[in-house]
Amino acid sequence: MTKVKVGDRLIGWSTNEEVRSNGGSGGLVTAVFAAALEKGLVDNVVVLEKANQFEAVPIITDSVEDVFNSAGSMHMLISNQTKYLQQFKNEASIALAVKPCDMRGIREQQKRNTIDSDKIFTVGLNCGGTMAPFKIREVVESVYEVDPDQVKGEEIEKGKLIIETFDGEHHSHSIDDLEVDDHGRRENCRYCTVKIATNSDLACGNWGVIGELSGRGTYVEVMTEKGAEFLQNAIDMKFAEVVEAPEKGTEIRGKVNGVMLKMAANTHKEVFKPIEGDKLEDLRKELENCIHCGACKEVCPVCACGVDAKCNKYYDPTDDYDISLYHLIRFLHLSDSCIGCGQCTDVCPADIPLTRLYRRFANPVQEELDYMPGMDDRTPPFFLTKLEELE
Amino acid sequence: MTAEIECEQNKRVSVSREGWTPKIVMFCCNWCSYAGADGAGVARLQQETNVRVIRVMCSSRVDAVHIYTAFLEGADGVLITGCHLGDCHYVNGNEKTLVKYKFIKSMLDEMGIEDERLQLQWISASEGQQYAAFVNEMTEKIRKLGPSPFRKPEVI
Amino acid sequence: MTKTIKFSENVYTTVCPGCGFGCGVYLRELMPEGENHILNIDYRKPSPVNEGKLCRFGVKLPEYFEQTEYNSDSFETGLNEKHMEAIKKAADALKGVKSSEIALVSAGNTTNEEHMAFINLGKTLNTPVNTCVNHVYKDIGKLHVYTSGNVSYSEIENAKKIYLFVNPYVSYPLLTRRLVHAKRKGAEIVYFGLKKLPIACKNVKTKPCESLYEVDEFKPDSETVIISDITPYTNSKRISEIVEIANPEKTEAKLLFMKPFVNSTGAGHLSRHSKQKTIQNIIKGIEDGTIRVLFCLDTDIINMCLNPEVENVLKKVETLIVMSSTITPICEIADVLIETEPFYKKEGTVVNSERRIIPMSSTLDNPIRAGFNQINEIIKAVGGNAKSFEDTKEEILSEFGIEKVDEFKIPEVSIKKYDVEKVSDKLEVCCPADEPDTNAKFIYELNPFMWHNRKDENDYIEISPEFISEIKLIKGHTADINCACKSINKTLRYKPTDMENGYIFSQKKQPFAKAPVAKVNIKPTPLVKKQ
Repeated sequence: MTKVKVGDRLIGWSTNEEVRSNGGSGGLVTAVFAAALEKGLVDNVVVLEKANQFEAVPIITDSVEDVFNSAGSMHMLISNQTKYLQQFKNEASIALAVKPCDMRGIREQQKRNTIDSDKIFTVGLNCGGTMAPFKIREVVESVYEVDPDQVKGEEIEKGKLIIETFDGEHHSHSIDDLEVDDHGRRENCRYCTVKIATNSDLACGNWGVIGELSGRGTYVEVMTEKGAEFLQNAIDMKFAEVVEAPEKGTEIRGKVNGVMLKMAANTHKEVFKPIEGDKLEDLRKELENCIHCGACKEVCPVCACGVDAKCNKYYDPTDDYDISLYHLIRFLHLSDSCIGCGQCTDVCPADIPLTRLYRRFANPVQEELDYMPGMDDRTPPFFLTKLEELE
Repeated sequence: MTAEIECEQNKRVSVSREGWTPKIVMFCCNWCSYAGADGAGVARLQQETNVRVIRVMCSSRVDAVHIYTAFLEGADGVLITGCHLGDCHYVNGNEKTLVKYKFIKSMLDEMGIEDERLQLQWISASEGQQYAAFVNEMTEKIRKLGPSPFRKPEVI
Repeated sequence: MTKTIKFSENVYTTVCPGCGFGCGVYLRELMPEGENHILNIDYRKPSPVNEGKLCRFGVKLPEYFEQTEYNSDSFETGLNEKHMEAIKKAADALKGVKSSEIALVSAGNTTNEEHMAFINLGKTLNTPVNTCVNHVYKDIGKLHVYTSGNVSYSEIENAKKIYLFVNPYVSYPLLTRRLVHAKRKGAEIVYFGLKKLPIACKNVKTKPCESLYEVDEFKPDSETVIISDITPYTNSKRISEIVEIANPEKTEAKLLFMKPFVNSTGAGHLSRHSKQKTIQNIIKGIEDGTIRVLFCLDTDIINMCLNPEVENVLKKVETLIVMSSTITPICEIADVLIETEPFYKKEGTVVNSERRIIPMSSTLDNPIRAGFNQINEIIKAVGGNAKSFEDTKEEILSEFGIEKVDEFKIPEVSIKKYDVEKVSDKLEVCCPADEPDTNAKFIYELNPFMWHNRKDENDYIEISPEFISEIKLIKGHTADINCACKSINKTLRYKPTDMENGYIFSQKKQPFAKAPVAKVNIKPTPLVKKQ
C-alpha cells in the first residue's frame, strides 16, 4: 500500500488480536500510541486508569504494556485534557486521545503559546456527548433499575444508552427520553456542533465502519502531516493494519454527523430562547449564589492568564456590586473564545449554569464574526488591531 | 407560594427618578478630545454639567474594567472619545478601541443595558462645537432613559 | 524539538481536609525527574458527596499542601532514625507520668485508622482520646444521637422546609448547591441569623445568644430539615434547644449537624464510649498542673482557640507531643514533634458530616502508612499490643456495623447516649459584658480558611449599609476596630452587606475578638492630612 498522506480516509485496526477484540472498535488508537512509544516518537502516552465502571483517571505512562492495558474511552469521563497537558509546561512530549472540545482547547492554548504543538500528538475521538458520572450512576439505579456495582460497560448506539451488566444482559433506554428529565448528556454536549475532531492529528471513530469490519475497525481521517507520520509508523512497525475506507462508510459517517448536528441545532434554539423581561435581573439571579471560588477560571481550557489574570486582580471581595467584576471580565474575555466545553458548569459548587451564560455572550459575537475558536487557526478577534484582519 | 416569598426578598432595588440627575463618566484622549473639550470651554459653548471627564493618554487605554466599574459604581452613562481614525497619536490606538468597543457593546446589549448608555465618538482637537453637541445630546438621551439599572439607592 | 524531561505521576483519590463536608478530590502528584514534585487538583466527578465540585479552599488545596507538608519523600522508604528518635522520646514522656496526667487529643483531622490506633494507645495508657469538637458541652453526650449525622445531603434536596443556622456560602460552601436544588424543587428555606442570604426565602433575625423558644418562626415539623453545626465555638444552649424543640422522636424533623474537621464525625463515633474532657477542661488542667503530658494528633489547639493566650498555656505543659502531617503553629512549641505524611497520601477512611464512610486510595503500589505505623511504634514502646492495619480496618468496620466500605451507601448506625465531663455552657466573652464604650457586636463566620489558619483575601469585615452611614464610614476607606478593653486596635476594610445593624462579621481570626461573640467599638479610620 502507498504511504499514508494528509486527507486519507482509512479503516484500521490493531494487529494484536486481544487488543482488537477488547478495544471495542478495533484498537487502532491503542496501536498507534503503542507504536509511537516503541519507536520513540513520543516519550509518554496518557492512558486511563480505571477504578470502576464509573470512574477512571488519566495518567501518564512510558510503558507500551500500560498502553495495551489501558481502559479505552468512556462516555462518563469528562476529563479536561487541555488543563492536564498544561501541567507539563511543555517539558514532556505526550501523545493523547482527545474529545473535539479538548482539542479546541488545546488549539486555543497553542495560539496563546502555553502548549507547544511540536510536543504533543493528538488522536481526536468522535464524540456524540458525555455524561456526568455521578448522574449516570443514579440513572442506572433509578431508571435502569440495575445495581451500579453490576455494570460491566456502557455504549451509545443509535440514540440509545446501553448498559451491559456482568450477567451479560443489555439494558437500554433512549437518550432523548433520559434527557427530558435531564438524565442524559450534559447540556452543552446537547448543543455542541463539533462531533468529529477534525482539528486533531488523526480524527478517529466508529462511525462509518460497516460490514464485517463493524466493531473490529476504526474509521480514521488523517488531518495533519504529523498524523500521517504516526499512522504510517504504526503500519511500518506492524502494530496496525489499514484499508481504504469504502465510500459508503464515509457517506454514513457524514450522515451520522449530520443527524447529530441537526439535533444540536434544535437544542441550541431551545436553550438560547430570547430572555423575556429584565435581562440584567435574570443574569444577576443566575449569579447570586456565586461564592467566588474561582474554579470556573481554573478549569477553563481557553484561559491562559494564570493567577495574575485581570478577572482575579480586579475582583475585590469587599465590593458589593450586583454582578461582580470577576464575572463581567470573564464574560467579555470568553465572548470570542468560549468553546462551550462545559467544564465550568461541571465544577461550579453553586451549580450555576455557567457554560450557558458564557455562550449567551459568545453566540452573537462568534456568529457575526464567523469565528469558531479552536477550529480555525486565526488569531482570536479580541487580540486584533482591526477586525477586518480576521478575513 | 415559595415564588411569592422569593419576590419579597432578593430583588434588585431600582432607583426612583425623583430627584435624580444623570451621572456620566467621559473618557477623553489627551491629544484630540481633551483638547476639544478645552476648545469648547474656551469658546464658552453651553454644555450640560452632568459629565465627569477623565483624561487618558489614548482612547485605547480605556479598558472594559473601567467601563464596567463606572457602571457598577452607579454611572448612568459612559462616553469614550478619541482622535479620528488615522489621526491617532499612537498610530492605531483608536482602531484597537474600536475592536474593544464592539465586544463590550455586544455584551452590554446581552445584559439588557440600553444602547445609549455607552457611546464612542471621534472628536478632534479643533472640534469644540462637536464636543459640546455630543455632551448635550447624550445627556439628554440618558436623562430620557432614567437611572441605570446597575445604580444602587445608596449612590448619591 | 526542544529538550524534554522525564515525568512520572501519582494520583491520590482523597478527601478535602478543609471541613467536615467530605468533598472527594483527586490530587495529582507530578514528578519531573530530578525536581520537586508538582501538586495539582483534579475534580473527582464520580464522588457522591460533591460530584467533583470544590469551594475556594478546595481549589487552593495544592497550595495548602505544598506550604504545610513535611518533605514527603522521606516517608516512602519507611520510618527513619529521626522518626524513631521522636517516637522514643514520646514514649518515655508518656511512661513517666500517671495516666490521669495524660491528655490525648485528636479532633478528627486524620483517618479513622490513625484515630483508632490512637484510641488503642489510649487504652494501653488507660486514658481516653479527647475529640474536643464532638464533646464541647456537658449535654452533648445525650444529644449525640442527633448530632452525628442523621440526614444525607441528597435528602436536603427533597425537603419541603429547610431551617438554616449556618451561612452555607461561607462555612460549608458545598451545601449551597444542595439548597439550590431544594429551592428549585419548591422547598422553603428559612435562615435564622443576622444576614440576608440570597438562597433563603425568609430571613429570621436571630441573635447568636437568643433563645429559640422566643423565635416564633422556628416551628419544625416532619417535613423539616434543620441544618446547624457543632464547632468548638458553638453555643451549647442553641444546640440543645434545637433538639428539644424539634424533638425528632415526636415530630420526625430531621437534623443535620455539620462539623469543622474532615473526620470529626468519625472520630466522635469511634471515641464515643470514653469519658472525655472538653477543650476548656484540658486547658484548665494544664494551668492547674494536673495535666503533665499533652499529646495532639493532627490537632492544633492554637488554631482551634480564638484566644492567642492559649499558646502560653500550652508552653506550661511538661511535655507537649505533637504528631502532625502539616506544619502548624503548635508544631513550633512542641517538645516532641512526630512528622507524618501529608493527608492526601494517607490510606484509610474518613466519615463526613452525613456519616458517609469515604475511602482514600492512591495509584501507588505500596501505600504509605507512616502516621499509622508511628502510633503503633509508640504503643509498642509503652508496652501495649499494636494491631495491624488490616485488623484496625476490621475493627472500624464493626464499629460502624458494616462489612465493607461503600461510599455510595450511608450505614445505619445505632447510637447510644453517653457521659461527658461537666463544663459550664456559657459562651466565652472577651471583655466584661456591659462595656459602655462599645457600639457593635463582632461575630465570627467560621470557614475552612479559619480552621486551618490559611491566608485568603478575607481580611475584611462585613457591615450593613445603614450602619455604615450611622457611624460615618467613608467609601473606599477603612474602619478602626477596638476591643472593649481598648487594648487592641486593628484597621480593616469593610464590605457593605445586607444584614442586621450594629453587628460586624468577619471570616478571619481577628486579634481584638477572643470569643465567638465579642463587644467591640468601630469608628472610621482618621484621615491623615498630607504634609
